[in-house]
Amino acid sequence: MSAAAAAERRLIAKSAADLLDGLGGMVRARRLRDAWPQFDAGAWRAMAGAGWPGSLVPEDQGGAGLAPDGVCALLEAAGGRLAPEPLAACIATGLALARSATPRAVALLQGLLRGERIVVPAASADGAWPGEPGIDIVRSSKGIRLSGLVPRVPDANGASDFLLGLEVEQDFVLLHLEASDPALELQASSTVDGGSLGALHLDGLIADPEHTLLSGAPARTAVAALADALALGRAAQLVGVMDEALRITVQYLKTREQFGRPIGSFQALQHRAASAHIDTAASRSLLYEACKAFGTAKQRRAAAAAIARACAAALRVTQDCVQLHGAIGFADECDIGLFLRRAMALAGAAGGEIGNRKRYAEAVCG
Amino acid sequence: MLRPESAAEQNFRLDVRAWLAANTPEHLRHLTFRPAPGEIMPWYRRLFERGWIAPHWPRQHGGMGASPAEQVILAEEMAVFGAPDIPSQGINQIGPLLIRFGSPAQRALHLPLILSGETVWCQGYSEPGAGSDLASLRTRARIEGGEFIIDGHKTWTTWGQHAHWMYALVRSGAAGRRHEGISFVLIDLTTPGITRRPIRNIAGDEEFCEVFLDRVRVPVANVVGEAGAGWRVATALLNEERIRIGSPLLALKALERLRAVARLTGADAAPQMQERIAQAELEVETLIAAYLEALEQLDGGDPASASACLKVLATETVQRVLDAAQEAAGGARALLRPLMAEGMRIDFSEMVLQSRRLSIYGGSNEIQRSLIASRVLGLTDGRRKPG
Repeated sequence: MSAAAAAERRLIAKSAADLLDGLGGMVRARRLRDAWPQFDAGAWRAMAGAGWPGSLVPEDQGGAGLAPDGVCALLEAAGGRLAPEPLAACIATGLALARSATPRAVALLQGLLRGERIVVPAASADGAWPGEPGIDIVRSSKGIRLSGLVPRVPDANGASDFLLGLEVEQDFVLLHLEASDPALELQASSTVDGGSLGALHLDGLIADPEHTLLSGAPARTAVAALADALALGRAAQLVGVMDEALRITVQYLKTREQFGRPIGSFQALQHRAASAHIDTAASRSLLYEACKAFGTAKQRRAAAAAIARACAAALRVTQDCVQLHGAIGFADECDIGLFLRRAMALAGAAGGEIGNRKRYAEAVCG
Repeated sequence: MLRPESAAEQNFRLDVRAWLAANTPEHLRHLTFRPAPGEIMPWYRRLFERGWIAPHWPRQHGGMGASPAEQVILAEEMAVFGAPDIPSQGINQIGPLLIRFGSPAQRALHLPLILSGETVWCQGYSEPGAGSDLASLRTRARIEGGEFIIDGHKTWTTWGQHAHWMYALVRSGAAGRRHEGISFVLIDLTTPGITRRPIRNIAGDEEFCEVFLDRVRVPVANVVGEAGAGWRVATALLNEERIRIGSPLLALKALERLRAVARLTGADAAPQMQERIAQAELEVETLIAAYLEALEQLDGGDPASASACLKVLATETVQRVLDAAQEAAGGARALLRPLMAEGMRIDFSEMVLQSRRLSIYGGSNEIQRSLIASRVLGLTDGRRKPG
């Protein structure tokens, strides 16, 4: 990575952190953990105002036109502040929408950029996106008729729109589904971080031709880019989570005293903290190396590597951070537990270590 | 390497591949130990003649001036081909140090001989009473005319019995603070008064030795940097050493070993083993990313903390990959002698035994973790200030 790229990343991270701190930082994070639905309209307006949902959208289409590593710097900051907003999802769908020139896609993208619409992929946390959801697909004169269930969709609760990649009679299409469609029912289940997973029940929902945003090879490429950008984005959030959790923990080790000295003076705890630091730094190195592969033949393998590692490392590090706090770490009043909860939710949403390692192993490099 | 390769980098990769195939004797492939000088130095010389012996050295000193990506490409191709280990103390340790701290005369004398392989170097740091606590070293030098007269005992000296020169830390000043009064000297091992005694290691090889110094006379001109300021010189070298230990070469070789053993024993038919192999690949990919980042940031940041992280990551990655190779070997894991299969020499036990040293040398991984705790995280030991 060049020094200029590193400086640019630091700048993005700093301004993102400033905005998030202005919105309330950890106080806001804790308030939202206990709120239902977990949505902060003012914060979302501020983030849209700063151009965040359009981070990967080219500038001539109204976006910020950031490179993947810049987006990851932003999402690292958001991860570290435990921002619950569906940023990674909207940034990834923005990228896909920007590739379609249909009037519907253009309007949807404008809504996304203005912060008026929240567009997320209709993809299950369990399936390798774009996996085959368990839904029946029938092509009729009116359009594509969908019935069935897409279980455990991250960020579904509060979304106004969904993007669904589907194989329809040997054609691959990217569909737009509206959350307000009467044939779509959302059933949300809470997650430990205050967020939720949504089960999407489709009861004969008809996507008319207008709702097909892309088809054929461009649809495939766009959906692959969406999935891989989302994997990188969630990996960045996880890196942010572990980095901040460790920072807070190290502060605690310096102030908490036992046996008449700061507990951070004990080698057993020092080495545990040092291992967590190595784990975090390595996950970050892999993340930014994977960013370099975005848009190349190695994109999928690289993104899968980054998210697999980040899922595993974030759980290790946040669990160790709880341990290093001792009993107070087990108390809900202590913020460190919020980091473990977010790491669990993000790792779940992202498909976890083993699922992504499988994708990594299966992805063929060009 | 996950990053895309430029056309020039792809060409370089193909060049390396073709060169290795054309220039490496079959008996030097897929070895799990460092071949003796008589066997390896002709190949070392060929690599030198091709201009690839010192990828990371600047061009003006006879190196390749290779980019970080080119260094990784070289390592990847060497590992896949099964290229032999070469003595690395000259290329990886003392060479870069002399480029940075050496006098013009020291550079002019030593650098060309390191590159051509005419001089093999070893490191004289550890002593029986000075391991992790290196600054407690007791080998003494007193000045007599223009010479250091050195008395002492160095140990764990890798390849010491094959080396022509040794760079060493000796105590030359008055007893003061621990890190003061230490000098960094270059010792010609043909000087009278030097006795070397090989030590058999856990893998059954004589790869390191003890070096006894009895009134060994070394010209003061062989001191690197200022006399008495050797600790600073050595510390800089330790950072360089740890970054080089962080090279993914060994991990890549371990990965090839894992794949070969799993294929040979049929262990790779089990999904659990495929999973383990994928995990190993991903860990090596992570190491490559961290290594690239460390090289790209060599000039900025705190090299001590970056190199400490990398040293731990690299060495423990190799060990974990070899743990998987042991699982793949199954009942054959403890076989003493290698088998020949598919034209490859398949070793089951030697590499894993050899790899135990990785987390010990160059500052044990526990020392590295303490260093990270103090330097990076600011956790003090409660007795004295870090540093």
